[in-house]
Amino acid sequence: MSTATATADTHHDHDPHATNTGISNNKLAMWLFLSTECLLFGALISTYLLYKTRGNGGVLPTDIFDIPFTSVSSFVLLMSSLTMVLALSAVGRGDMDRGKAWLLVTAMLGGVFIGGQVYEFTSFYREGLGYTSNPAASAFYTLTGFHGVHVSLGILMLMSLWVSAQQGKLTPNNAETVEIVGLYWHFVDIVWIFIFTVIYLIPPA
Amino acid sequence: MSETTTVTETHDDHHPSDWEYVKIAGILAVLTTIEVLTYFESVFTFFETRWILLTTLFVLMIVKFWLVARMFMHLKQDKPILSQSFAAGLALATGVYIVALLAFNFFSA
Repeated sequence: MSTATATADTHHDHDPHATNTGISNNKLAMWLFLSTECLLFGALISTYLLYKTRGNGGVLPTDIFDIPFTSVSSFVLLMSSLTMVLALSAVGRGDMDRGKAWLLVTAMLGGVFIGGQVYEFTSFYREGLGYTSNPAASAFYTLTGFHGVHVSLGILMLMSLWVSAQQGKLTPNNAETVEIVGLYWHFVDIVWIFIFTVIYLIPPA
Repeated sequence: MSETTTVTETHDDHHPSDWEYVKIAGILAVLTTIEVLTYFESVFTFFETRWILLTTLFVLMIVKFWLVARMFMHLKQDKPILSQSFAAGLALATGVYIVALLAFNFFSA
């Protein structure tokens, strides 16, 4: 048996985290989960595209989009990806104070985005676009609402990380937990990159 | 220590520095600004031509998507199996829903 193989076998016996791929199971699982999320959001986006002109004579989402407002909230979510990666970087090098601060800023930026979405939904409702007003409205609220739920879950995960860090349970040794939450957060961001372009910015033909 | 059996050796290269992350975010901000400017046709009248507008928006969207996935999600540094796993789901979703949209005559409408 070669030295390398012997070493590997020995390591395999004692390292409970050893995997065949060399990647932690949690991280691989998160990537596979995100892969399946593409199908979920693909279904919701396709449904909206098919129904976006079906207003049944009423107001359509595209008639009342406030692009400047949505642009600002999109920018906020995009910048939250920066603060998320800065949090991971800080935790990875053991700078826990800065890591905690960036986690909190990321959660707050997510909160600003959700606040913007609540404002948008409220103003749309006041303009006559209820959830069941027409097929276009239902598809729009379902798509953006599902995305909002994902952002909200991300905020909860960020806050639980922040609480763990406050209690001293989050250390550079388990920075991978921050990385996995970060993957989820970035995914929510890239889904919005797609939604913002396809749903908001491309005008009806 | 075997490279294939440890969790701690999943990163092939160094991660970007904080300053590099800020620069990437700056690029993303510029691309988003260009996207938003296409909405104001009075700024760039050539965006009134639909195919130019659609091409511009899709290229910008794909570049932003690629930058976040490669740099912020570290696909550039991580093992290829992660990129392949994600790409498989993305490709499957894209294929399935393009076929679905074709079935409903979306592109000919």
